[in-house]
Amino acid sequence: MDSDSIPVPDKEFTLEELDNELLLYHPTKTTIVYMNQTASIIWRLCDGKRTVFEIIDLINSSYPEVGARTREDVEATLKTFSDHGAITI
Amino acid sequence: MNIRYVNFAGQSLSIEYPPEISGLIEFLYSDTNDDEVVSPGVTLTITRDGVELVLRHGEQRLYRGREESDLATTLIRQTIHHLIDNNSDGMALHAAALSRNGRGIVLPGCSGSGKTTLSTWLASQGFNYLTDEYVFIGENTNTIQAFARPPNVKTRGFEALDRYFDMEKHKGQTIRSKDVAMIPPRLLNPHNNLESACVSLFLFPKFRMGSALRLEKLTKAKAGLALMESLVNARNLNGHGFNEAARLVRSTPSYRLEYGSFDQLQEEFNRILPG
Repeated sequence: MDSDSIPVPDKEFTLEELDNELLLYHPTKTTIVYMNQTASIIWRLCDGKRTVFEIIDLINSSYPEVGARTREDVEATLKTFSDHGAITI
Repeated sequence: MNIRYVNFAGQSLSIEYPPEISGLIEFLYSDTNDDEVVSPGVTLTITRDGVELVLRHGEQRLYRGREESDLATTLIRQTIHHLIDNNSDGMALHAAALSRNGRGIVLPGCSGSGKTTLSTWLASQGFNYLTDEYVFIGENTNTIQAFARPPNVKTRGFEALDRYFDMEKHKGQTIRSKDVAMIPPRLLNPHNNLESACVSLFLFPKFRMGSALRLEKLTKAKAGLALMESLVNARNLNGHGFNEAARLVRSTPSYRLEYGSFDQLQEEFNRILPG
């Protein structure tokens, strides 16, 4: 995944925050996406302006304990979002 | 012709039938609300043609044959379909339900998940059996409205239930087809009571003969996802019922249960079940 690419969320998704996790629901595609706590944070950072690199950087500064795995975790999560049509990159 | 009204979740239908199958109709619908309504949404008609029984909805023939058990299966399926199909007043869930002391347990799941077998066992353990197939929860409520049909135990569930219900002994009091036995709830629990109950627990069951016990407390998001998968009238609901599903799981503990025999369940159930 190109670090300079920008994930753009599909605004049609309805969001329900349940404790620290999220469910995203698309009313016309009838798609539901479950997000654990980490994925929820990544989703919130996808504002259509930040690049993949900036999202990784923000996660690293907020969650330094995640360390070396951050890049692959963020990219895997973004790919899941993309596979469900929740973002375009 | 006799007429039986069936009311569920604010919808009504009527069944016209010949007097000689009154026993069958009573067997199937004795626990459903039968208040007379002026204009039921749908009328299903059963007639006799020689030795065969014919079920129709208008001009459409839904069943023709000699077996009352097969007619019963089709009739119940059609009844539920017509009562739920256009309902937009709340969530219709593919789920079993039981209660104890006014607190309800809802077991959502697709066909084959074991919700009938589990609800039949729970009834034999003293829980009030409400339904093994459809639960309706009105918008902004948490009261269970259950479609109270006799549990339809599939033949593969007989072995698991063998120690708790003597199928052969009660053969004359059940309706049996090749694949299914319909059992009156009061044979399972003589004190069965169709009490009003609120949702106190969602339990998503999965029965696999011989499987080890696995009980997982679901996060609210995982429970919401699982509940949406059991929602059968989503297309009729505002936002496909998503907000309502989220509302219910916010206030209700939810578990996923995988089990292989009822012996495993007793202790765990006492820990998680309400009341």
